[in-house]
Amino acid sequence: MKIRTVLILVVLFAAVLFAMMKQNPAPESDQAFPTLPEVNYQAPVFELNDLMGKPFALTKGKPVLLNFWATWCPPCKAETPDLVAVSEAYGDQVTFIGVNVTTQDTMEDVRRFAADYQVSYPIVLDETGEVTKQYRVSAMPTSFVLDAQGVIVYKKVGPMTAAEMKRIIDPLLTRGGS
Amino acid sequence: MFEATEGFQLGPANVPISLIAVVMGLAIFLLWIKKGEREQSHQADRFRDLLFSSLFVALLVYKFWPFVENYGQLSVKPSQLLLYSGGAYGWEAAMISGVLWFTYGGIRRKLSLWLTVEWLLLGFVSVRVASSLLLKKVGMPTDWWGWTVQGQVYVPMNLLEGVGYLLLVGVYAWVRGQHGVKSGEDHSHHMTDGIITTNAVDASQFHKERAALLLVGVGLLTLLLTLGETGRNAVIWGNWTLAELCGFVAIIIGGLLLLYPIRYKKVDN
Repeated sequence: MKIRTVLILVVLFAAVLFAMMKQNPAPESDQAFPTLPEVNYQAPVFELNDLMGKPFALTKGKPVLLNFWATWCPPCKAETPDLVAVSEAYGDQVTFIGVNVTTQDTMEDVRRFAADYQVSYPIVLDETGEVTKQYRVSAMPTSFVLDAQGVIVYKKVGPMTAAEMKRIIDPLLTRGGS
Repeated sequence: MFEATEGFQLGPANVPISLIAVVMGLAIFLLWIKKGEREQSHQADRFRDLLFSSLFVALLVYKFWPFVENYGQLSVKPSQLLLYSGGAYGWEAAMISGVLWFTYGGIRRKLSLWLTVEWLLLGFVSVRVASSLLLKKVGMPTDWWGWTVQGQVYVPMNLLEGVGYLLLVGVYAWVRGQHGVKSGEDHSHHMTDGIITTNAVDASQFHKERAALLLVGVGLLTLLLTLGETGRNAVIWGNWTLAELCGFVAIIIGGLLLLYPIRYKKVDN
């Protein structure tokens, strides 16, 4: 048998072996995972004040949709009714958080916006712009979907449609938020 | 080297480095086709045109897909289409459209099958090399050398990927050189003997073999690299992530293609 044929058979065998190993689910690892504002990385944690001035922290335990927005941004205005509708449809199963980039907004405008669009999910105020910088948000709206372990599973720059939100969130709920 | 999230600010637009890497990889690949494949210049021109038109079709579908998904909402306010792109299945729709357009165009323009597959895979490798050299990617935590993020050292995945793909390019170049020698030997044999019928190497078999080699290489690298990744990639089927599934399928198809020896075609002079 030629060396070439042997090599090919070894590679094929290795691939099949890999496939057989994949039959067993990988054990849950508690190793440290890098924190970066990118898909498959741990989401940076933060604590900001909400519209009432109460501290609000990003926590693990259930899926989260994190939406960075501003009142002057037309795509944010287009997206907000869908965010409100989808957040109400999921109820307590999913946490929706609107992070207002307050460095580019006024408190008065933020309150008026929340009232006009009847925003029912928490709005937190990034008054120093630190969290926006931490998540490297360069355009608005930018949304991140996190699983129950706080890992970013989806990132979208630009408005999301209701169907898009559901498509990302539903699998997180069916597999127990992980 | 840049962080995955970095970009260049061009006026109001932010151009991500990941996009620049793709453009750079494609540009290097197309330049190589132009300079290195002169004997295939007609095929190369058709391939390049088709590649660009397919990318354009995919881009158009991605942009207008929300209109398909949310016809009711966007038909009332068509101006909102300016704001939306993608939607729930935008990527899939764009990719399928691009592939279908490329396949249709390839058949219509009579592109050589194995040469096209070889070039597509080379284009992919070129883009991966450019991305791995430009963009930092971290994997599992390690005690060895790597990228440091918030005090913890992580496996430098992009460097491993870069080295792997450059090795693959090296093996590809060597095999290509061997094929060139074989082709030349056969040709000289034919010329010196002056026989009427001889065994001439069918060029498409060489393209097929090189395409198969690239498939196995890309598949193998994809599977090996998943071992060092964060392990947080979403599974799409059983315990398989998309990358693992694609890598496995690529190895099996490429391996089976390689198991068939080069066939010599009888040429009557």
